[in-house]
Amino acid sequence: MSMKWLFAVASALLAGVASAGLFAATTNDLRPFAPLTMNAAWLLPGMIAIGILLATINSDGIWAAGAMAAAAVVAAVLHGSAIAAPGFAVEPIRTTMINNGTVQGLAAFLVVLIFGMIGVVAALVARSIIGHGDV
Amino acid sequence: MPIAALVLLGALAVAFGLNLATATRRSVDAYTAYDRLELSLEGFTFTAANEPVIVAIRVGNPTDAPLVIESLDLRLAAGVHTVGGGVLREEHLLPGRESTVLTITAAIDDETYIEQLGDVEIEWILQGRILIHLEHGEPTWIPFGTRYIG
Repeated sequence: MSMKWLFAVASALLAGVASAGLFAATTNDLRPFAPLTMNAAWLLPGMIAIGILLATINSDGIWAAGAMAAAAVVAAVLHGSAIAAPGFAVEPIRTTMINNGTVQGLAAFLVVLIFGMIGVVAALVARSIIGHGDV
Repeated sequence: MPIAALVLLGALAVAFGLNLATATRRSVDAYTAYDRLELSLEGFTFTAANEPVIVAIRVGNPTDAPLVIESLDLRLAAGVHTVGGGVLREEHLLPGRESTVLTITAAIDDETYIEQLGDVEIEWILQGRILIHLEHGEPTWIPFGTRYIG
């Protein structure tokens, strides 16, 4: 496996976990239970920052975009599963929690993909302006 | 630069990942506690239609963590006819694995209906909800219902 692949896979997994954790810290479903909480206003800048870090790790634009899309899938699965988790333990709320987890997971996918991608593009544009790469 | 960014992203992933795992565990614990909350009718005292009904409900904490009972709403029905109810707005701290008896003084609003039932046994339907608050989690209403014949 080339270094490009290694960096892309590692950064996608780490960005996915970080994004799901950021959702837990900032959104209403899990924030009451989270030890680290933040104002919801930090969610979108946080996603952009994660996108910038991901583009810094993956210098090639297409690899950075691919890793960001994979990170969005990881974040969506983790966030949706975390919300749905009580439904697997408590039968009367199973349908409600799994439904809620699915909806929130899909929302997380879109938020991570869109705002993470904004960070990726911003980092690539900045790098091309200072002459360290091409968009 | 890429290595530094990878290390920084890794640190973020560890911190936020632990945050997510802890929040998930606490969420499962809270919903399990809400589901297993022990509620039982300890006493029901009805004397006359124009007198208050005294209802005693035992609440047991199924978890090891303390639980706060914030409020209790009770609705009384004689058969299918709602005749009154009561509320309890005192906070009660319930330590882990302990139980307490809450006494609610319920009023009968529809005295005429109760009086016209005469001396027959009344099937009382008690329906209500209790607002409880675990240490980690938001206050949650738990609905309950039972019946008493007397």
